[in-house]
Amino acid sequence: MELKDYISNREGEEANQLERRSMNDPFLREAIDGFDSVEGNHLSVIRKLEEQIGGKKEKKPIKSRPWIWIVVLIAALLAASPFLWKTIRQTIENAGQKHSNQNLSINENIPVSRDSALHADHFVNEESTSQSDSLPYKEEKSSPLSIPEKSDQKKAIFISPTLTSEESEESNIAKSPELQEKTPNTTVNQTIESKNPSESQENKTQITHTSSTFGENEFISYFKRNYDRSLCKGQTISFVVNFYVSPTGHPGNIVITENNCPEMATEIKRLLLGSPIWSKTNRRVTLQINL
Amino acid sequence: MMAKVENNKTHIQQLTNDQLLERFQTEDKKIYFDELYKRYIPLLYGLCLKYLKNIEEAKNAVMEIYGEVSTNHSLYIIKNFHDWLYTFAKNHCLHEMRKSNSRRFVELVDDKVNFEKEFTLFDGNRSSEEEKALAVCLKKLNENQRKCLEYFYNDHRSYAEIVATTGNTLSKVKSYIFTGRRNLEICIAKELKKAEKEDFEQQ
Repeated sequence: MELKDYISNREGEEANQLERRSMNDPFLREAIDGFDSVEGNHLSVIRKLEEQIGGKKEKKPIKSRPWIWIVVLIAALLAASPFLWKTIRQTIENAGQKHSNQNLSINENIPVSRDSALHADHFVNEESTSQSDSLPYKEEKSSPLSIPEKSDQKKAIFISPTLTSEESEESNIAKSPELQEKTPNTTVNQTIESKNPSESQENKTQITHTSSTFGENEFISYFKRNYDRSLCKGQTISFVVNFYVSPTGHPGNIVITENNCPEMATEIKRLLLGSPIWSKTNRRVTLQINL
Repeated sequence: MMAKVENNKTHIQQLTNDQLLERFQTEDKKIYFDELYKRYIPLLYGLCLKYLKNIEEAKNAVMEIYGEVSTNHSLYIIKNFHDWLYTFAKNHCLHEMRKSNSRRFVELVDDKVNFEKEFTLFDGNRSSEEEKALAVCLKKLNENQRKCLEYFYNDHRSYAEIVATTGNTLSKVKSYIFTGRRNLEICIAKELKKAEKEDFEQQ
């Protein structure tokens, strides 16, 4: 009989044998005395102590405990979630920024020429593209995207950042009092060199536009101000254009349904793509313009 | 992998205490010591209970002793783990008692008392002189001692059973048996010497 068994059963010959053994073993005798002196659930205490000692070596390998991996994975995900979220957000923001920059470059800053409009015509559907493909475009002395040489600097189209501060507005407005009259509520300023040879005397034409709202009427006046007058000169121009204003306020899917001046097609797209952000978004617009 | 671990565990469990100590001393693998210590937990816990009179304190003491023993260098040279651990654990408990300044009454066991001869005398084959001496000495014992010894050695009754039979408390039963054995041993030794002397004189 073992001491553990003796604790739970102290009767019988086996118990007597253990007690006899204890007569010659002070360790055993004192242990029995100890169990006799204090009442309690000694067996459970012994079991716990054995687990504490044995538990250290009886640990299962991690392999056999898949929940550990799950917990570790969850913990790792939780720990990394702020970083992941940040990265995702940054990626989205970057993508958005890239997209808006692309649009910005088309809309406001990059020299908006007919060829660049053609190259950036990813919004235009095939129908309109096929129409525009056949259209000739003006040869320019220098590529609008290339860095202008000193001599060409005057002819080059200057990229000016979108200014929102009143100071910059005022300074630009102050430079062009005529335009100030036309667009008193200017928020965005553009400095675009006119490619019209007739207007080339004035190397720089400052077009100041954009008001707090931009819609069909504003676009018509914007178009009338900025279109290339050398095209179909002396002819009454009339066209109907259909496009979709994206959620970001940029026209796309441009389809010219009617046009009596084929050369004007690229110009229409150029000005549409280069127009300021439309106020009412997410809608299809059909415009008829007579010049 | 798991099967290998299980096999190893079973193999370790089959080793005797001496083998475990030897393996630990030669291979220096804690797994052998842990198994050996695990086997001593009931003894250690009981011993600590006797001195500390408190389950929690005894539990803590067992774990503390484990920590102290497992890092003790003597473990690598000792031959009798049982006696060494007993002394070590007892000293630890006495030290703990002193630390807590509690005035507990503990009956210290005289380790040097060896009842082996007397024990054999009770159980094994006895010579006519021994039989005679035992009969004389048993009569000299007081009734409680004699009865308890008879129940314990002749009837193979446990302490609990003797308590139930006699109606005495456990401590009294133990005391009767312990004191009776000691008195009997002394008496028998005297009687045997006396018989020897008589034989010598006769010759």
